[in-house]
Amino acid sequence: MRFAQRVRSLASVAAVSLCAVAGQVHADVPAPSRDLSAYKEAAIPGGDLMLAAYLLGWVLLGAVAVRAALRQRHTEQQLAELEARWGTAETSAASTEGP
Amino acid sequence: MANSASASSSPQGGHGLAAGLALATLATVAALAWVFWGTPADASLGIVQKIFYLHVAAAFGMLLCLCAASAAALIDLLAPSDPIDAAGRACTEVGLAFAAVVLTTGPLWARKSWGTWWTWEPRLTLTLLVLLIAVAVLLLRSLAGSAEGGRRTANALAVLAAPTSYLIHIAVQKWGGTHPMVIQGGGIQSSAMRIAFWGMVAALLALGAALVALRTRGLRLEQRVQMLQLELSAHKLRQREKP
Repeated sequence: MRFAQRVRSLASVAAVSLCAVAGQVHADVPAPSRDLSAYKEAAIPGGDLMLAAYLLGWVLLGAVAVRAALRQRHTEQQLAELEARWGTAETSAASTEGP
Repeated sequence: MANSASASSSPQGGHGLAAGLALATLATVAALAWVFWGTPADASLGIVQKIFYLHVAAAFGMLLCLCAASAAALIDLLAPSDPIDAAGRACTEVGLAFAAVVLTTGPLWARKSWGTWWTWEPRLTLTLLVLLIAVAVLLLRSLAGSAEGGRRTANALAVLAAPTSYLIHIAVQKWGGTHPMVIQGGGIQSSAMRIAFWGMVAALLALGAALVALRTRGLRLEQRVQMLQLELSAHKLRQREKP
């Protein structure tokens, strides 16, 4: 890689880091936190919320896994097709060039 | 593209990944069974406290994946490499999924324990910020296609995920807020709860690693497809130019 590109990369990382630091300095004033220690809901069990949390969590992770597997299968098919086309193209090129 | 993609499209790699994913899924099912039937309900919060095992384990996965994505982005900025780029993107995607789990399960738990679905306290706000960074990185990559500028801009943005993740880790100590300090503040007292917690952490990290490996392979194959398409186009042009 050229030196100029490396310098540009380093400069962009430094700029982004400086922005992050500036943002943090600005955000350093703590927001007043709500005192929720005294809160107690009458019927605390919340089994429905727990089931919803686990269901949503696994649906999200399952969707990522299924989507990744389907995309990979599609790409594998595309790759096999392209490799076959590449093989044909090479063979035809070799036959037109002759011995 | 920085260099030639040489992803293996061999079915063996796919079978290994499928086996890894199946093992990780089995581990998460076992951890889940232990959470539901092996742990007692919390004395003050009751059954809803069991969300903690999934919520915190997903947060561990999110922080690890996004820090790995940041490191990969930094390396790719300094010395572009397609395998590193693919691994970084895969880490961002899986980290985003974990962040979505954290921000879905958290409010459900908070509704019962804090009496509110959402509060703009530092840790929650920073977690939302890191999720938005991951969304922005993936959107940039998707919109830029194979353009080098888009890749570099997305990488520069992805580097931000690591310092933000560190701020999430220290947010409660530094700025307070409503989040309890369970791990840093004395740990879990019950041994059954401890087993459930660390079991779930291990299972989710294994699942995350399997997903990252699966997506990395998928992205490497996509890079190989792009390379072959370019080579075929160049070959066609050469054939046309021949007398």
